[in-house]
Formats: sequence, C-alpha cells, structure tokens
Amino acid sequence: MIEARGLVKSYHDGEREVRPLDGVDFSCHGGEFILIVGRSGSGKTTFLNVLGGLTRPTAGSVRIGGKEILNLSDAEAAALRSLTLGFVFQFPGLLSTLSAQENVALSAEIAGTAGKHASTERARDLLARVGLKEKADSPPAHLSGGELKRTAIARALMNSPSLILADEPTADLDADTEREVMELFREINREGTTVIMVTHNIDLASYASRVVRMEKGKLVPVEPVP
Amino acid sequence: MLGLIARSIIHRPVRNGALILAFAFIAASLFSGHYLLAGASDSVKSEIAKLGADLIVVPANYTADSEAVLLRGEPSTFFFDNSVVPRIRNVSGVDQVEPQIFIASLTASCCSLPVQLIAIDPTQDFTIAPWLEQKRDKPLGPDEIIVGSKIVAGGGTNLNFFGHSFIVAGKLDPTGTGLDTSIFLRTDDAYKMANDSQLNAIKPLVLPQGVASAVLVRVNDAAEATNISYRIVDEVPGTRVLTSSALVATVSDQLAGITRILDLSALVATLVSLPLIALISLMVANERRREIGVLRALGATRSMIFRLILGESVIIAAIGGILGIGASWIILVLFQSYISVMTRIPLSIPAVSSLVSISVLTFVITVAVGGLAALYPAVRSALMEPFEAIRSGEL
Repeated sequence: MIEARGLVKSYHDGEREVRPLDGVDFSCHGGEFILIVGRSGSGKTTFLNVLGGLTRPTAGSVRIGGKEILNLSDAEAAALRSLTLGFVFQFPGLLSTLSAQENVALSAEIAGTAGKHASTERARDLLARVGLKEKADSPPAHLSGGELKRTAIARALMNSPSLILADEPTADLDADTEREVMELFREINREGTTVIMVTHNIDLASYASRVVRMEKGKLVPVEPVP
Repeated sequence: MLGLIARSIIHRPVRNGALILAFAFIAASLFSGHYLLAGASDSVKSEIAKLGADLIVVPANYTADSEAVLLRGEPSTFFFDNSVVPRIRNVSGVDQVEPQIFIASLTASCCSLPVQLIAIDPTQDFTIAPWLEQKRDKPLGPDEIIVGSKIVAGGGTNLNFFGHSFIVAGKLDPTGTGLDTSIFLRTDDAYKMANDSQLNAIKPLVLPQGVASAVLVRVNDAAEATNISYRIVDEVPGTRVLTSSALVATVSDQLAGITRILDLSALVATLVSLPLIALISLMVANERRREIGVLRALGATRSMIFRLILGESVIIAAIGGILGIGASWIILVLFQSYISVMTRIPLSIPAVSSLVSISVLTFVITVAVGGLAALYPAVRSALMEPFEAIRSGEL
C-alpha cells in the first residue's frame, strides 16, 4: 500500500546540516497497524509527514497505492490527503470556532464529497462511535483532552480513509484515556483501515502488528510483538 | 468556506470590529466627497432648469454677486441699463429674453435675515409663469408675491418690504438653491415699493428707471447655447453670461477645498490603514498557521487557503464599506441644510443614478483596499508547507 525508498530530509541549522531522515526505506501493506517508536527528535514525526505528503523530502520517493505522491499536483495531493489519508496529530487540531460535530464534518466539506445534511449525520454517527454523542454540539474549549483526541479520530475517519497516520495521539493523556484511545485505533484497524502511528511509548507495542524504531534518521525493525 | 470565514470573523470581534471601522471611515470619506459634488452639481442644474433659462446675462462687474444670488440666495442689489435687453434679443440664436431686477430686502417679519427680492415683468416672464399656470391659473396680480420654500409665510399672509405691503400668493417647491430664499414680485410693484420706501422705510430703496439686474435667455437650439453666450458677450459689451456648466464649475471650485480634504482623508486613511490592515492580516494568518496546516492536511488546496484568508479581509472590508456608505448617506441627508449653510454651497440630494454609482464606486474601492491588504498574507499562507504550518503555529 505504501512504499518509501531512499527518503532523505535535510535542512541547515546555521552552519550545521541536520538530517532527520537519512535514507529511509519503508513499506506497509493494507490492514497493518505499524508503530514507529523512537526518541524525541529522532525524525519519526518528519517521516510520518513525508508519508502523508505534508512535507517534501529532500530526496527519495513515496508511493501510495502505486502512485508517486511527490509528482502529484496540489489539487491531486489535496484529494489524496482528503480521501485516502486520515491524520491525527499530537495536538487535537480542532478549529475553536466550530463545534465538535462541525469539526468532524469539515473533512467532508473540504472534500465536497457529501451534502450538508449527509455530512452532519455521518459526523454525529462517528462522534457516537467514539463515545461523544452528547458532546456533538460542544465547542472544543468544552471538551477534555481525551474527548478532543477522540473527536480528532472521528474527524480522521470522516471520509473513510484507507490509511490513518497518527502522530503521538496519546501524548499528554492519562493511562485510562490512553487505553481508550488505543482501543479505538485497534478497532478501526480491525475494520480494515491501515494505521501507522508514531509514539515514543514502546508500551503501546502490544496494539500493533509491527513495530519499527527510528534511529539517527533510519528505520530499524524491532522484535516482533509476542 | 463562507461559513468558516463568517465564524472566524465573529470569533475575533474586537480586532475585526476595529478593522470594520477603519474600512467604514475610508468608505465614508470617499462617499461624502463625491456625494457633495454630485449634490451641488444637481442643485445648480436644477436651479437653471427651474429658472427656465438656457443662459443668464448679468453685469460683467457683478458676476460674483449674481452667482451668490443664484447659488446661495445671498441678497444683493445691482443693476445695468436695460437697453441691453433688446440688444440681447437681437443676438442670433436668441429666442426669448426676460429681464429681472434683484433687490436685497431689509429685514421683514418672515425672515430673520434680508432676502432676495426678484422683480419680474409678467408680460415677459417665463420663470414662474409655468408654475403659476399649473398651480394658480392666473398671472401674478398687483401687490402679490410668490415666495421660496424656505420663506416662513403661507398663502394670504401679508409681508411688508420697504414700507410696502404685499400678499403671499403662493409658495414654490424646494429647489435646494438660492430660489428657496427668494421672493418674486412684479416690476411695477418694485417701483411702487421704491416710492413708498422714501416715506416709510428706515432706509429708502433707490431703484432707477430703465434698469435690470439679469436677463434670462432662452435660445432656439440648446446645443448652440455656448456659442450664443460668446456672441452675447461680443455684441453686448459689459455683460457676462452664466451657463449651468459655468455655475457648476463655480460650485465645484467652492467645493474643491472640502472635497480635497475628504479625498485626502480617504487617501490618508487608506495609506495609514492599508499597511496596518496588511499587518493585522499577516498577524492573523500567522496566528492561524496551525489551523491552515490542519486544513491542508484535511485536503484544502492552496487555492482554498488563499480564498479563505483573502475572503475574510474582503468580507470585513465589504461590511465596513456598507456601514460607511450607509452612515454617511444618512448623515448627509439629515444635515443637508446645515451643510449647505456651513459650506455656502447649494445642495440637493443627488439623483438616484448618481447615488447608486457613487455607492458602487466607493464600495468597490473599499473592497479592493481590503483585498489588497490581505494579498500578501493570503499568498504566504497558501504557499506554506502544511507540516511547517502545523509545527510553527498555534490553534
């Protein structure tokens, strides 16, 4: 489903050249739940964003569904992000001016895939699925950390993507809420959606089908999960 | 998209309120200047039309006084020999002439200040004759007067000028010009009044025989009016011809100072607020970097982001423009008389077509300023890499 070859990302910090990605090769099949672990600053977030087309690598290639995403036009890349990928960020990333339901429906509005009524219905269904039926009309300011994360997950699912890219989705959450969120990802994955998740918490490895570690700009396989 | 823009505008009420006010000020300054020009121009044209004349011939050395009488109703007494009347009538292209005598009154019971008395010859009159035909069905009788709309006296009221008593026979409709504070009487009554003044008035009126103050001229072909005015000046020395375009030019000169100030304040407001608005738009765009990054991640194209940032500024400018135009429109209409007195310029409400075009022009300029101010932030936001936007911004 995803194939990345020779990914290099470099930039200059004053005189010093920084290489968060230094020749990364990676492949992922549909239905996998891959956990990318690593220390802070190891380049795992950069890697996830390159996979999602949110930043361009200095060198290398990324193919999703056989299509080279680095050659896509702005509109094609936007369509890919909207319809094929779903993003969950470390921060909730909800628009403070919209309610939870409106935030979830926003993906469909941008994609133009559904009418107002249909997207509102689906957003409410997704919020109910993540346990936030009663909070649909609440603004983000009235939601707890866990509720914000679950709303962000519902938003990522809005256009039924085949791949979810999640960047530290459980950071800043207490143990119970972390478990709830991870269970939600496991459920989504079991329904057939591929999940690639970046985290610094190796304890979450039990939820994944495969774990890789980012070290010095390269991906290293980790022992299979027992 | 519109919903997102509207929510974003409502979400920052103080800052966007201040921006709306800035745009409203720009629009109000622009609108007011053009409204005054159009109002004054329409007023002068209406004056000439109401006089029923194509040209007005006045003594060359009393041009300014004549303009003051016609445009502002500032009372004045001046004459030239009425031997000019037949000579003007003989100028090629002239169809009809009507001599009038201008007399500045002393104070009267109707008016706190002196008013302009205009003596007409009913046998030659074409100024108020159409009005008399329409409203009264008989000519102006002895000792009867027709008063302008601003003269406080109803029909049948007795008014005394220079010790001579007159009866108000009718009141003209408002014109927004000097006619509103003028009073029409018969020329023979003017001479009777001058006689009576020798005994009854505090200051006697000296009205020599065989004089006129202005000669109103109708021409055979209105398109030839300008050429005929040149011929009159050539063939009848000592005269000056007032045309509607010349009077409009005089008013425009008088208004130039005010319109220059208004245009300047609009320009200064634009020059000061344009970088300020651009800076605020840039700040807002910077504050919204993460939001922009998230929208890009959700599938928004660069073009959508560009339209989002630009649209917000354009909508704020449009709201400001509508408020500025609306507020200045209301103020100018409500205080029209006061503005006319203060600026000493005849003013009427401009024609609807003029108002619409002034409003549209002002609105377009204001919205363009809004768009211009947000252009750089919009381009910058659209070109930003989503990952960079997400990493560096706050939500």
